Amino acid sequence: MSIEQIPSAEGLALVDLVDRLIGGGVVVNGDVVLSLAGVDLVYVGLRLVLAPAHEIGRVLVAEEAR
Amino acid sequence: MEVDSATVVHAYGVVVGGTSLPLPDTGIGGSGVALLDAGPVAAVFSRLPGTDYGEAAWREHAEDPSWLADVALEHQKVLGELIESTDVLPMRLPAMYRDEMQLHELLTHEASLFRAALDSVHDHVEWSVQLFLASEPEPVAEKPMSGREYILQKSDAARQRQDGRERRQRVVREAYASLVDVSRQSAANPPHDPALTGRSEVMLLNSAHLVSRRHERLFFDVIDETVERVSPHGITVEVRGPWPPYNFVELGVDPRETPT
Repeated sequence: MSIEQIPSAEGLALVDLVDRLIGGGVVVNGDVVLSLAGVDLVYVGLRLVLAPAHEIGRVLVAEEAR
Repeated sequence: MEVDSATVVHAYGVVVGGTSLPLPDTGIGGSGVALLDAGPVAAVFSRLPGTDYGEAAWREHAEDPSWLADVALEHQKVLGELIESTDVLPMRLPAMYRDEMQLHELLTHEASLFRAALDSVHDHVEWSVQLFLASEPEPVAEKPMSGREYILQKSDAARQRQDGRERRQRVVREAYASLVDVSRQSAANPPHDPALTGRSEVMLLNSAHLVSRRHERLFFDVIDETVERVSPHGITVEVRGPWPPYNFVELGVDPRETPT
């Protein structure tokens, strides 16, 4: 997997969007369809969207260690 | 036993209730977009097939960057259209609910919190400003005549580079300060690693600004001034927006907790 595989839309840098989706907005915990554990997984995934290829291993190791 | 229901409800964001607003034609996966009004606040949502976007699908794709990126872009597309005409609190992903009733319960339960957050960003949108170092001017050096001259030239060049760095830092700080002056709130976020952006230019500033819709002209006047002021230093300016106020709404709600 590399950063080149990630689709980009016209006029919108994906990195800016993911930055916002990880860092801001309304977070609803608890009684949503996806349990908290699942939400954490998605954050790993969103960080992978961002992470440069050489850092992906590090991100995953850090997640597993938590 | 967990069974994925036939459909799930994806919420894009929360808006003020009791009003009609223009909704985007299509949402995630080409779905229709609708409004769920719970009185003081309402949610903009889509009903999506459970097999494609239910809990199992999210788990399956949780580490699949291209799937997540598609959903994120479609989520943002709806929010981007909404923010053109109305205040909206963006939902962080994943924002899936079992059905309209569950989403309605959340809106009712957190109505006062959502209303307060909507009031705090009323009539404002978020703009992002990024400054990049496009080119670093090379110090001019004459051909050295002797070893001593060579060493002197080397240290001169190093000093010039250091001076240039300090000058640029000052220019960036001043640019940010002048944008802060015409924003209701501002946030200087960590610049992106060049590896993330896939660009060779170094990002010097990555800021977000909460800007009044009525004073956007003023903000863009300052952007124009900034471009003029930074370009002699080899710095380029990129402005994106309007974004829903992601950087200025950081709201964690837990419907399981009873408000005190």
